[in-house]
Amino acid sequence: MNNWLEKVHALADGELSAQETAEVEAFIASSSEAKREYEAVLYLKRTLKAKLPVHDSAQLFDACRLRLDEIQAAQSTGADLIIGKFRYAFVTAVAAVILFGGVIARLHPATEAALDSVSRTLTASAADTFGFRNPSEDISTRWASEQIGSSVTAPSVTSYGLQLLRVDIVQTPDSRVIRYIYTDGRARYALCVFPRTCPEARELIPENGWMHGTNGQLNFVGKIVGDYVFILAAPRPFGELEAMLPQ
Amino acid sequence: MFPSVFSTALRLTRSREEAEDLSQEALVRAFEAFDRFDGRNFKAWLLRILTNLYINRYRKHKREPGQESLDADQGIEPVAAADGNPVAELFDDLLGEQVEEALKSLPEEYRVAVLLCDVEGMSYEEIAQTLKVPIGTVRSRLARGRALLRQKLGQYALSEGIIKQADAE
Repeated sequence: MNNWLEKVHALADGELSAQETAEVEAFIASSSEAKREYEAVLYLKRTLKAKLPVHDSAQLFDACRLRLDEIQAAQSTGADLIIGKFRYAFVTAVAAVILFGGVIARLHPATEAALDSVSRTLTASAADTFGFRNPSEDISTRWASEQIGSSVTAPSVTSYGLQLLRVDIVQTPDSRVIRYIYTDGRARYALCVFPRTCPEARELIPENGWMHGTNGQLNFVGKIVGDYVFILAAPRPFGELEAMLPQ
Repeated sequence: MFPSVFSTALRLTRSREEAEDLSQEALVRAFEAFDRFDGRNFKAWLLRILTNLYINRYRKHKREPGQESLDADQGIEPVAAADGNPVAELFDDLLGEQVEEALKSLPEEYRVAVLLCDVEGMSYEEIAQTLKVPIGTVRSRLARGRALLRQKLGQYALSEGIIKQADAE
């Protein structure tokens, strides 16, 4: 076999077609030298993966994040700055819905400290979020599905005249939430998608109906659809938000 | 993902200071070019930006005059020991730092190929696109790089008394 060494390496890397794989495997079965080489390459690959240390980069990452924030601030338009000012209220409100805080706060005003605590939790989670910016809902949903390891079918909110700004993966204490951020040119909309299996979703939203919530200027509507729970938040009337989610 | 980006930068540049600059610059480039990301493999895309930056910026200043590409070199040595001894005996007792040093000591063309494939898990096609070389070149660089890495690991194992002279060859 020509170039058998390279072919054995390519087999170990999973880079051969089915036909080539069969040929090289047959060759390995007939040659102790090729068999030793194959095993040596696999062992070397495993050794590199297992033994190479991961270098501490936390400080550098913080520095990078600051630099990216500065760049983003410099690039921001007036509308973006308004959205930026709105960010804390948004995070508080979403935290309230996802982590019960909003419900508790309305029923028992004394639990504002708890609301503040869960807001901080989600703010911290959101700070670690890695986002994806692409105006296409399909591409963004594909990216988000890869991140959470599960195929998601999200409602097409852009068909209501909204522009998709970005999609984030937010790690809450119990689940990974996909968060789409949209704008209609005046207000920001957030669509959170989290798995139906997470305890917050099961207890917060009725099986066959809508969940409604309010936090400051934001209204929320939530609904279980298939394997996912959708929560849409924006400073818009409930009916308008409900119309954007699957009926 | 960021630790992986920084570790790759460190293994490319072999200097912490340059690795910090390189990974920070790569993140900024990725941030600015995010609209061009096709939504498939984010890590591979980011590593491609990092490696291209390294090749275009950092390596240009470092390459010594008269240093030629190694691709034209003749022959590829096997990774397996000629005497048939299993490599497990050689690799198992080596420390992570020794493996790191052996990788860093490889000539750049081999080091980058082995790093991207074996450590970062990029496909031959992704590596070929990143390095702007044919897939055949990726294949031969990997085979040569791994054989050389095995020799270096053998030398470390010998110097540490893990194996005896005959086993290292």
